Amino acid sequence: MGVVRILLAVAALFAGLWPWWAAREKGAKSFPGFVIADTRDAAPEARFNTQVVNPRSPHAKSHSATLAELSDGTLLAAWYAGSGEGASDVAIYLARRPPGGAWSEPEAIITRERFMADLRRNVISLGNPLLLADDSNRLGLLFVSIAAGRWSGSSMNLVWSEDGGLTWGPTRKLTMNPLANLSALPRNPPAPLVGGGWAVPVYEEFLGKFPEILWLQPRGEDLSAAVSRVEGGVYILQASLVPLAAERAVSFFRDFRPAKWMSASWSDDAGRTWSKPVTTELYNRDSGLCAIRLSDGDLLCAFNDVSPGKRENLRLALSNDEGRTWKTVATLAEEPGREFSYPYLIRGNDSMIRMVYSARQTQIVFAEFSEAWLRQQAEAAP
Amino acid sequence: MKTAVVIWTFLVPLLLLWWIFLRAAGLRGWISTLVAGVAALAATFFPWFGHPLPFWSASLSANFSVIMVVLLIVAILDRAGAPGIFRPRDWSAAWIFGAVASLLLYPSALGLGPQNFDSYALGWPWLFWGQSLALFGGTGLAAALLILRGNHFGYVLALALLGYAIGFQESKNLWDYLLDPVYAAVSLLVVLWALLRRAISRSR
Repeated sequence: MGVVRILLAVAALFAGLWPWWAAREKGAKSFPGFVIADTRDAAPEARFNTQVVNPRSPHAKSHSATLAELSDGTLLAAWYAGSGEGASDVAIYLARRPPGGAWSEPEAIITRERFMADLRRNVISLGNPLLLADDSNRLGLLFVSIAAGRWSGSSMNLVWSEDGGLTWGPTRKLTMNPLANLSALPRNPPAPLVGGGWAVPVYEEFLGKFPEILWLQPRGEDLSAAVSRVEGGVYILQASLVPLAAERAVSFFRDFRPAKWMSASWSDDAGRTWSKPVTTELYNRDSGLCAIRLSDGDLLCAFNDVSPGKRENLRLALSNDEGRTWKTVATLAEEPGREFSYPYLIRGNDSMIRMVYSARQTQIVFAEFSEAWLRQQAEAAP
Repeated sequence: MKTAVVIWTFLVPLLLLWWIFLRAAGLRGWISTLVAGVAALAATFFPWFGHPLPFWSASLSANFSVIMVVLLIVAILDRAGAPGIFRPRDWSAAWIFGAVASLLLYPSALGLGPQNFDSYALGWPWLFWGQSLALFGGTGLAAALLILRGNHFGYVLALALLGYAIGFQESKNLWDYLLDPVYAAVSLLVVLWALLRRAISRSR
């Protein structure tokens, strides 16, 4: 055995170990913990307001809205719209509402043509946008592009805006799956991480249908992306991730089993591992839901309750035991034959709760209310 | 998009077509290989439905593995008549590695294995740093042992690790430098066929 061969073998071993060791040296903890919003007093007045964000929409389909607040209080809502789900004319639209102002006319910020020019590859359609906002004016947008088939043929992309969403940089494709990078979708609000970055609840729906967490963390010059599993199998997806403390969090899941109850799972190590999901007592018939933590630690969930048709109402429920039991306190929308779906909740810097959802998958409805209003509804609820 | 990623997305269909042309036409020798290469190059840049082939192949996957690319190069050089780059035992090592890696990766990554374990996550070394040693150290060790045993596939593994260290693919996950669906499918078929033949010959 020659010396050269031994040296090459040592070099091969080194080539394997070096990136692994360097990853440790680069710094930030893999699971740094969640940022918990401060628990300052909520707005004292009972306030409730609702508006349609896209009242003059020419599109047959507008769905899967996301919401973010910039540091100056400007609200941004984004959604996908076009002639139909998976259609080639679907684009990602964005509208903004300055503090005290009205919603602007929606503007297409990501189109299929722009995407194909950026990444030099074909795409059938776009969907599921998710806004990422932090204390700076830098704004991220996650969205999916469908390369083949329907949602199971989608992959995730990330673009950045340095001016609060007025202009957007080049698209970056995130690789999250080894099988042709198919099937990865975002849906619910991201959880900010200590030291920067986000834990974004995402899901896959190719062979398995299951929830995961996309970890976006500043490591070096760029934001590193990696995915960890919450639960495998084929029964839950679209997690809503709610940090309870720096190391503790709960995730609620859209459940498509016949039992029709929302599932929940808890983590005590900052999202690294999750308990086996259990069913809660909140109704869920395969519908998107969203939960957030209120200023007193109670949890608020927006969900579709029992109805003759699917998603004919949208209600709010409160929990004071980390999501194990719930009390339905308010109805935001209810009308037979109509659909109200995909709620998306955030808590604003002024402690107001803000929400967007789809009405009949054609209108994006914005609602904002104070915690005082919520408590008032809770007291009046049976 | 990074230039390296663009080059990689062009390289894969070019090499695949090149090998398919050689194989389909039963060509051997340097001249035939060069002619097939020119034909593959023309087919790669030809605007199929308005776009060159890499536009369409990248739409399905931009992360073909380093191992598959090197194996294609070795197969093309073999057809050209380059003397013994890969011997049968080197090919065997390539197929066995591909089959074993496929079984370790795909069921778990597709959510069909253990419920909350995803072996794909080990390919990002910073996420589950401790557990990732099994993948990074294991692959490095496999490459080193194969090289020490004189198996040329060890060098291919080392090249894949080197490729990851440089980071020229769109993916930042080591698995995507080691494995892709095409290499995985061929490896599984070759290994299954070999096992089947062995079982049949034993039963006789």
